[in-house]
Amino acid sequence: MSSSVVSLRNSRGHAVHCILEEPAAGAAGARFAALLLCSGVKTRVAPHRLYRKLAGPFLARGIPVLRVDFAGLGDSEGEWPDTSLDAIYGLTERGHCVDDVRSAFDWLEARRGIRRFIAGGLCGAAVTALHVATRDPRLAALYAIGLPATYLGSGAKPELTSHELRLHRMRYLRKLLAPSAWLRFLSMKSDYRLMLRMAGEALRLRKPAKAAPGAAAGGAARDLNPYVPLGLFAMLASGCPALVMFGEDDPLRYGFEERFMQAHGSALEQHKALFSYAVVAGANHILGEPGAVSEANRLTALWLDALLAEKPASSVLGWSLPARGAPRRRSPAA
Amino acid sequence: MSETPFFFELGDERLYGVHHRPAGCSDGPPRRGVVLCHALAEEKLWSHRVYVSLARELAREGFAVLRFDCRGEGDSDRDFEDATLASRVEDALRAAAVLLEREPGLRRCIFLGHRLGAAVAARAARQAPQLAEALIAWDPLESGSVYLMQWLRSALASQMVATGRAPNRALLVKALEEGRTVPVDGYGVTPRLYRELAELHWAPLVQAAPCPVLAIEGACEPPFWRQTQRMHMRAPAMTERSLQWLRAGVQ
Repeated sequence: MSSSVVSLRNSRGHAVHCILEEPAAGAAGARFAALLLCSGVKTRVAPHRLYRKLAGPFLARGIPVLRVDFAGLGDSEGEWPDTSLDAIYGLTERGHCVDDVRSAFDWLEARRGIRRFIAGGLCGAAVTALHVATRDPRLAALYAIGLPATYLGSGAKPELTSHELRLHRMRYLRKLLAPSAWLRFLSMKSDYRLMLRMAGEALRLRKPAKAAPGAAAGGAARDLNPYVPLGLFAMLASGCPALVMFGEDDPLRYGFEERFMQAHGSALEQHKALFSYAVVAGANHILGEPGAVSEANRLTALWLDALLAEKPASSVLGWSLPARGAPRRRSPAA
Repeated sequence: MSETPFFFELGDERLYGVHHRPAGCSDGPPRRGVVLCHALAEEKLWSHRVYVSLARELAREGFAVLRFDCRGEGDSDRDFEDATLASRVEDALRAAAVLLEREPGLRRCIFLGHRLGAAVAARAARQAPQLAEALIAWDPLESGSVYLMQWLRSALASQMVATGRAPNRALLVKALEEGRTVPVDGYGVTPRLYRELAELHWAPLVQAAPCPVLAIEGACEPPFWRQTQRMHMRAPAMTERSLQWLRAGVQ
């Protein structure tokens, strides 16, 4: 394996600096290249250098990996119009960085002769890849970890997911023995609406059998980022597979399951051969726990083997629609 | 000005660096050279863009700059768990040598470090006084053990907010003292790094510095090395104070 610096130009003329990792046999002639994109603002290595660790299964299968610093991030040239995190996440949510990805496709096509690409990465990287899916037919597959499904662009506070309600409930339960909490309760300053919702959710969670898989998820589904179904179904409809992984303890998992999977259950069922969904046991959003990356790489290897063999990934990564309020699920067995 | 990202070697390992050259270098050597030593782990990532801007501003002022990733960080070789404070000092010294190789008109360089990078820069200057023209420390860690406790507390608080549960900090410290590596923000903090941090104090490092020192407290800037509401692209106060000091001519 070798790694080298790639400096390419995006359409605005900014130098976009990337690291290209190539398999021992080189990248020329590879069927696919993988692009791991900036996750939020954490540069092309991602939190705790996650992308270096995730490259292994791709390289082992002869797939070169390009780690990309978007313009205005990492080492690349350019600026963001607004540097508040909300603004950066909002712009990413609306596809601000698509041009840089397409410029990277162009570079790989011109310099390595590769015409099909697997793109994605952690969090906002996966959102950007979904935007690419609607604009560039060279995207062959989506590789997503911790994909945010909540739309922040409206500026309104999104509905809480069942997970968030559960966290609030735990917090309130801990306060039951605190006199100051009771004083606050009586002062009319407490969030009584939230308390009612928590109570309602708690009662409903005790009856999971009545929750119909695939049923629309109610309030939470209204806050779905429209680009998630748009990009994902565009890919699936054109025969491109997608792998979406979450850490079990990633709060965004509940947003994805409740806002997207439950609301689009029947459509997803139709694409079950192409859509792979997996949860990494005991892991957080950034796969920071010991063993989480190994498990993610094991799942990725299964998915890549199916992709390269042109077999449905569902044969190795089966999944079922999450029932409302189901708190725990484990990775597919080894 | 030009920016050249490249890999350089240290033994059989490679380090990633970016060489910033001022404009007009064909007319002669740059004013001076500066080696930037970065902070640790996620603090490095959050402050990355500030370092990019600093390097560009220094280059505009006529300085040649090498910013680089220590082994175990960024795009350089080695796992984080295998990197130590000592290896980071070795990396800084190699980076200084590489800058001087690429800028043959220079004989010495200024070490500038941020947070843990300030200690790295100070130790590098002490180990190679013939290379060190000056030392600039941005928000140096007064005490490595206090720093580690704050890092653990912050990571555990984030974990508690996200999942509603987190281990006890005392248990993590006990594990480190018993020789076990503990995960913090996805990084494996090893017993060796723990011991190195426990022994780290800024005051004796300054006293032993073989060159002029400028230390700038972090309070003059928002904490751009941590997650805040904003992605900080520059550290204007620290940058200006550093430039003023350098413009005045370090003796």
